[in-house]
Amino acid sequence: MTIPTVNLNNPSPPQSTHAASKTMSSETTPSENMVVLSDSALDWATTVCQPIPNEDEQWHTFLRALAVVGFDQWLNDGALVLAGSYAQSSPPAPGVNFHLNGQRLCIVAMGSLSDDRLQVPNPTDGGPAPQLYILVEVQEEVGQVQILAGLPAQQLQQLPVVSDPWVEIPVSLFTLSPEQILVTLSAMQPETVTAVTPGASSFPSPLQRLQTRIINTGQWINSQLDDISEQLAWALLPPRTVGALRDGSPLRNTLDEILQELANHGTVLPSYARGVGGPVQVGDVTCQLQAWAWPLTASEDEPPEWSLLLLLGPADGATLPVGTRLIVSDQNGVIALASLSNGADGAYLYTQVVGTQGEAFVVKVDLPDGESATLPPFGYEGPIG
Amino acid sequence: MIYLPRYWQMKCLTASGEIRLQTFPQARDWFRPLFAEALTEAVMTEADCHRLLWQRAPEDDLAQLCLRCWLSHHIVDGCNQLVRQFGTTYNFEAQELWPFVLDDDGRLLPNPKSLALKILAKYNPDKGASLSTWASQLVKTHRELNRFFLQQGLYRISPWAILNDTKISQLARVLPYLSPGEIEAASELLAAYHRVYRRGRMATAPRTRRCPDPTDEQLQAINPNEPPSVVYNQLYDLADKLRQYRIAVRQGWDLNIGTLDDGTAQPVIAPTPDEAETEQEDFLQRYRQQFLATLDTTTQQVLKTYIDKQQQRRTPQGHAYYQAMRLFHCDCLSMGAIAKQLSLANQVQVTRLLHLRRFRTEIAIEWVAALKQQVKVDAAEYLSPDQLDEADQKLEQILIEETNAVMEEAQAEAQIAKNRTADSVFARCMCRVLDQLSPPPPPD
Repeated sequence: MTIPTVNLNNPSPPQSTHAASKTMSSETTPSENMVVLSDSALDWATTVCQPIPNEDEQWHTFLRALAVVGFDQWLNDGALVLAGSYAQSSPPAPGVNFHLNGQRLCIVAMGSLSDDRLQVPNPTDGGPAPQLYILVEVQEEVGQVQILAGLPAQQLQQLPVVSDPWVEIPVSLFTLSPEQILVTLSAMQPETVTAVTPGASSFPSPLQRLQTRIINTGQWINSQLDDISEQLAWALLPPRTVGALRDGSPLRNTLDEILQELANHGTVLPSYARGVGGPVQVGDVTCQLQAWAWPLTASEDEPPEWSLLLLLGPADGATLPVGTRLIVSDQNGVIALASLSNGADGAYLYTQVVGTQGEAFVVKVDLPDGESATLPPFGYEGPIG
Repeated sequence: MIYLPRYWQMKCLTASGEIRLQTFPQARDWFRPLFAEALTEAVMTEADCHRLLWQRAPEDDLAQLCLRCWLSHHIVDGCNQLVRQFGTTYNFEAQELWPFVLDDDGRLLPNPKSLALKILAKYNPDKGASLSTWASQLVKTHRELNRFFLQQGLYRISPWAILNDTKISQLARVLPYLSPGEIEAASELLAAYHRVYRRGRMATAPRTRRCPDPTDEQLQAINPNEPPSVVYNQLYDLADKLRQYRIAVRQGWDLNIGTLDDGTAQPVIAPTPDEAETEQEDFLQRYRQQFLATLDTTTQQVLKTYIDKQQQRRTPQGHAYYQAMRLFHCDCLSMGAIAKQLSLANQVQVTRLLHLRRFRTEIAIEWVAALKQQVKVDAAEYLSPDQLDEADQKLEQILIEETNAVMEEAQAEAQIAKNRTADSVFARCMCRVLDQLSPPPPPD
């Protein structure tokens, strides 16, 4: 997972596959995830909504109740044991209305108009927010519901329009298929459940992958140098202190300029970020590398992420040749690339990537004369936050 | 195009369900002198003709008979349209629809419960829809006809359900081509409809599922200033516009349901050995054995659970389920062919019965869990406890990737409609497991 970095060919955000679309069609809905509501389910939904005084609210809460009880029925349709729970004696809330494995779900009912947007309570309004939204089509008339798609809450940051106290979510954001919802709920990471062509991984043997040494940037946070960095003759860099005076060293000034530019694009190096720096030999050329790492989220609800900032510059007094490239790959391929286009004194290449715990990044330096050096992978093992 | 015999020839159903044309000479001899020339010379439109017939009908049985004849043709046209739209996917033919709607027995004195008479009761040439519109509407919303469709797996939403779920606040946005005045009128109508109709819906015990037509009393309550059939038309029209929006939104989405993949999925085998040291090879050999062995045991467990669940249903389906799984995975039959063999209504019912995507997903989840346990035990010989701890999440990731390759291969193969193979790792596993399980007994 990456944030588009400055100073490179700007990659577009990942294409979301429209999972909801895969289960719907014009007038008809032949689908595997259709649930015929039991009589007791229908009874419950009707009864629990009776006390609601406002007729309009009553009807839409009724649809939501059908969605909730239908989702529960669907969960128990297969072989997995997924123990979910929802309030039995009060009508379901429009926000968090279902719990499973300690996760907070918001079941959203889609009515027969099949509108392309949905309303949910603003998740930032206070109180624990949903972690996963589930879109359920309700066919009240025939006592059926259909599980359409899911939306992990962390993907909500890119929108939505607030029409107070509701926010609107476009249906197109619901990208988890029903099967991926099951995987998510059985406490696995859904984004890893995607096809990988065998052989594309740089670590073919599972054991080899388990054994591969990585540069554990997690140790830097504790002001410890990891083994590999030590072997490479790299040193821990002094932490960045806010408001430090420029000490005149070219490396420090360059770092400040780069950080300023990153800040202009919304990326801030926190004070607890730690880095190592040292030489990288590429053919005859000695480059200087700085690598900074820091944890991104410490919340228990979301998978922990960390950020890696890399700077590549020349040795003291030298310049990097024009056309030098700094390339970062994850297990699927290249994700970031910075290329030196001007040969000004002290010009630096830099790039930033973000990953989840367990993800490692391979960094390669290419020189225009064909020489290149690949560093051991950078990872972040150990607890984040 | 005017076809005059429609006014004196009625399409009726024989006892064996075929259509026969019943000619009424009295109707013909009465109709032709009055209307034939005017219609063919285009002096009179068919709408005019219908109005005149309708006006004479209370005193003149022949006038009504002419209308009944004409309606019978229109009803058959309506059925043909439904077959064109849905017949292939849901596997039904026009013959199966006729008995529901072609219920005029062709006697001079009409059956008061017949669809034709219902249509004539709604029709009012001075206000509201044309006779053909009424006929189309009442065919499409016919209760028994839609119950039949639902049994075939086809849910055709009624106009009343669409109106139920639509909010006033959505109208202006989803019907942008209406003027502000029209939106306001529609909002008032919808609000009144909600007040009257939905209350009734929530009050009744939810046994009468499909939304019935609003009664005359309800229509009167919705708008006392217009006759009920006019209010009915207005509501139906609004629902139809909303239905167009619904269709457009859904069509704007990708319609890929179980279509063939584009053939780029790589065929996959269990992980291959690397040129590596002995310890790698040893581990790998063990890993490969475990890889497929755990797939077998997991599949067996999950399949057993699914069979049991099917067997516990009100009408036990365990036997049919087992057979369908066999026919799919080992005999490579298409969904349609399986439906025929098991006397299920159509391929949609087979798809729902097998629920293959979920089945494979649950196997994948349990398989990774089982593999992970096993691999950790094996890897303990090669990794230190610290390394093992560190590697936990990485291990899961690796296993998901490796097992995913097998499941993706299975999915790609499953999506082949014709001449499917049973070569995938998963299909071969399924056949092994199905062989070892004994199927539940067929229902008596």
